[in-house]
Amino acid sequence: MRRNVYSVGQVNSYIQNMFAQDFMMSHIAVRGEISNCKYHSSGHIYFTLKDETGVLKAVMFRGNAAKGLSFHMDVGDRVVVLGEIRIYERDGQYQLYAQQVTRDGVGILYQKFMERKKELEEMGMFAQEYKRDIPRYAFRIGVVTAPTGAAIRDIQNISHRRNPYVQLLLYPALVQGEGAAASIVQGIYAMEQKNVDVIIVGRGGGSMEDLWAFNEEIVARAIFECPIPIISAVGHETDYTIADYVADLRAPTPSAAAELAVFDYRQVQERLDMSAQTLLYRMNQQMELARGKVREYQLHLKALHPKNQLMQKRQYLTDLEENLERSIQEVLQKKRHQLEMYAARLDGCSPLKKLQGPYAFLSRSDGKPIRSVDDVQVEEQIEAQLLDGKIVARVCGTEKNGVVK
Amino acid sequence: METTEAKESLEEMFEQLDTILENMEDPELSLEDAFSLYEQGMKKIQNCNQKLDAVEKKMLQIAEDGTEVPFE
Repeated sequence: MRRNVYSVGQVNSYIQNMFAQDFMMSHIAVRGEISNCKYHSSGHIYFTLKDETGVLKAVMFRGNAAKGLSFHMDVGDRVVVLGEIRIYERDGQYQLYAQQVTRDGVGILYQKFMERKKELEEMGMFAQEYKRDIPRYAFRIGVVTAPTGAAIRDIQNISHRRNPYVQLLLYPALVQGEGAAASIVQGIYAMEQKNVDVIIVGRGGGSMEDLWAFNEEIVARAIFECPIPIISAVGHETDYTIADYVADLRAPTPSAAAELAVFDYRQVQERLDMSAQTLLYRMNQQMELARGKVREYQLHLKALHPKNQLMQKRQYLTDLEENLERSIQEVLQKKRHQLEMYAARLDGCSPLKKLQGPYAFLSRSDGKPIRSVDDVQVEEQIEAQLLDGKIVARVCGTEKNGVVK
Repeated sequence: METTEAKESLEEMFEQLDTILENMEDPELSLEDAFSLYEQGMKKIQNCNQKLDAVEKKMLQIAEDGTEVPFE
């Protein structure tokens, strides 16, 4: 079996062709750390990119270096290299042909940010105990931000909507680039001089580099040392800066900061109106209460008037009279009844009653009752009284208990 | 008197107003005290309104010399 045999040059140019046809290989951005770097006298720069997994050889020609490199590359620099990957046919090696090299800002900045955050946190600059309360009713509100851009417009709009009667005072600060941090610090000092009630420090959204001034230590210190409460409002909701941690309150956006700093005028007005109404209502209540008391006294006094007392006494007398009358009637009734009872009994005991039977009342002619046989003489005339009349009789003889006389 | 009023924050004034309103609910209150509280309350409300100062304000800007100038 015969094989095709190729020359080294053929193989290398074949591979070179493969790389050239791959679009990604010709426009690629690679992140890495510079591990080996040689500025050649020819003006070309030879270096190696590395990360945890491996290395990649790279070259930047003089012409590209003049256009696409703005700093001196050093070992250890984290960079992003833009370029193409080609085969260096002489060595049979692929390498990255750099057109532009930039510092890997995010990486460096992020690391710096984390380090500073840790450092300041350990110093206690984020501690809750140092946070000042944001006043509920601020009338002068300082704003340290750029005079142009969305942030100041948002703050102005929200503030005006909530309460057009508070005074906004702007310090036009540089919020990115050279001198931004110093400008922000200057703004905070200016607001201290103006003795505003609360300060909003911030800016609109941007890249980490754009927001970097708010991570600078001088800004953090100015915020920390400021005797006036500060609301930070840097970038978007997801952006966190050192200023946010040091500030007395972090607002997710400049708009939100305005919501937090500016009290709602209508709400306060409503509360005041309500208070006035309640005050009036309770005053009326108190007066009604007092009126009620007066009425009560009036009634009491009326009751104590002599005429009234006289009438009352008269009434009492009438009552007594009636009672007495009633009592007497009762007594009389009782006595009458008793009398009837006695009469009935007496009736039963009447001597006449006794004569109702075959009995007679014996008396001598002079009327003296005859109680004993000794009271009469033989031949004496006596009378026997009966119920319906009397019998005149003559004593024929007497017998005393069986003894004839 | 006027200066202490001016120094009082709206928040403090609201608190005092609430206390006055609360005290006015006491049925044992004498009419004199009620009137006095009512007057105090009305004065507080007036002061609050003064404090609110319903005059629209334009945003000012701190100029380089530290003076306050209209913004734009």
